[in-house]
Amino acid sequence: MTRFFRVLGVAIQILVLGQLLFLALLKWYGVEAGARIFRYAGY
Amino acid sequence: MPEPRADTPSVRAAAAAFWSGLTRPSLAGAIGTPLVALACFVIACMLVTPERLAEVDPGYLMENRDDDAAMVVAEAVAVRRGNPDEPMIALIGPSGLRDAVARPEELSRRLSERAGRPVRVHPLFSAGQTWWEAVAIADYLPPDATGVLILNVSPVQAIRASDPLHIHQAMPLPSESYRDEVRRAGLQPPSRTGIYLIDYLNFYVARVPMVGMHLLEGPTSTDTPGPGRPKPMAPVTDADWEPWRKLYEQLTAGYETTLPDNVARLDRLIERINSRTRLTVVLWECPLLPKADPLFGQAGAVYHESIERLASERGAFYWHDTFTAAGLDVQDYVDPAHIRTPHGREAIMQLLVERLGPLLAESAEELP
Repeated sequence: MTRFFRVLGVAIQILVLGQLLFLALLKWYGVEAGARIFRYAGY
Repeated sequence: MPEPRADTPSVRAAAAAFWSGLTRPSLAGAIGTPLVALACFVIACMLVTPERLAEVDPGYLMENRDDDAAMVVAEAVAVRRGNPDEPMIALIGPSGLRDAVARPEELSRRLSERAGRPVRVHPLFSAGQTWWEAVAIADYLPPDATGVLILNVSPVQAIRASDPLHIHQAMPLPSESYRDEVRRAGLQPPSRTGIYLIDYLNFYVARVPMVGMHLLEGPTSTDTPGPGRPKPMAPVTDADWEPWRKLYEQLTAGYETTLPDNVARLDRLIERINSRTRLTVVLWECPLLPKADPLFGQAGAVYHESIERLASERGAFYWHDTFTAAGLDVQDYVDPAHIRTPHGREAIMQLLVERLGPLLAESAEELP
């Protein structure tokens, strides 16, 4: 039964770290690619 | 007294096992973590599409009211889904047009009442819109669409030099006509995978932190800007006009090259609309303050002459008398191009209903 709780802990770790990794890679891509919001200059 | 069962887990042992799995590195964690990251990206690619964008509040993707690319994409998708046998009014133009036609739903109501049938009004505005964006947006007009297309024309749109590849970064709207125009300009269109999120990743990645904030605080309002507090005043004195004079002088530098190029692009756009749809095209010069016109000098004169010729050759209307025809006043403006008073907006509304009504009636007569 303790195995179940250990697997549960690992699964939650993977889900949390996986999503954080996804966001971190997006952030890294954004910096490398110079992604930015183009601001409107009114005429 | 019964003996305790040898296999009964203690709460402490379960918690310790859970904590151990949660905090310690493991082979499963090392393999699973990147797989989950990949799965997140795949799910994002499936969820982030123009069709999906049309179903959510674009305010979540807007930094402020002028960061309205997401609104245009959503509306363009809505236009494409429309029934071509129902007449529409499509308005394509920059923020000056947005501010002048502030209540598209009210325009729709009045025109529907007058026509005795539903008339949908599609506001396809975006701040700072050039004819490059208009090319992309127009690709979403349904084939054989009926009604009227109001295409904004202005000296600034005709004269201004633009970086066409900037459009790809700033407005995530796939368009073959846009890509053709980029090639025609001697440039390489942006690379394309066919997966929308990947093709426009820069646009969405730049907005991720903002989306998070909006989820907590609520989306940016998509209401048309009002007069503002305190109400900015339109330029009146020569001193007020001086910064605008300098700006227009700067914009018109090099117009001998940029103007013919931009007008040719507009010409091809109208030709495509005429060949693909049954829309009546109106080139509408959303009115600048009268004092602005002379500040464009010779460039302004060439612009007017070019648009008149273009309208004549392509069978389009050219409405460039709105300031006087609608009875507008300097006080209706917050700067040379933006009308923000209820009086100004109602005057524009009445003029549009008066002029669009007959055009819609003619359009209805042409339906089989």
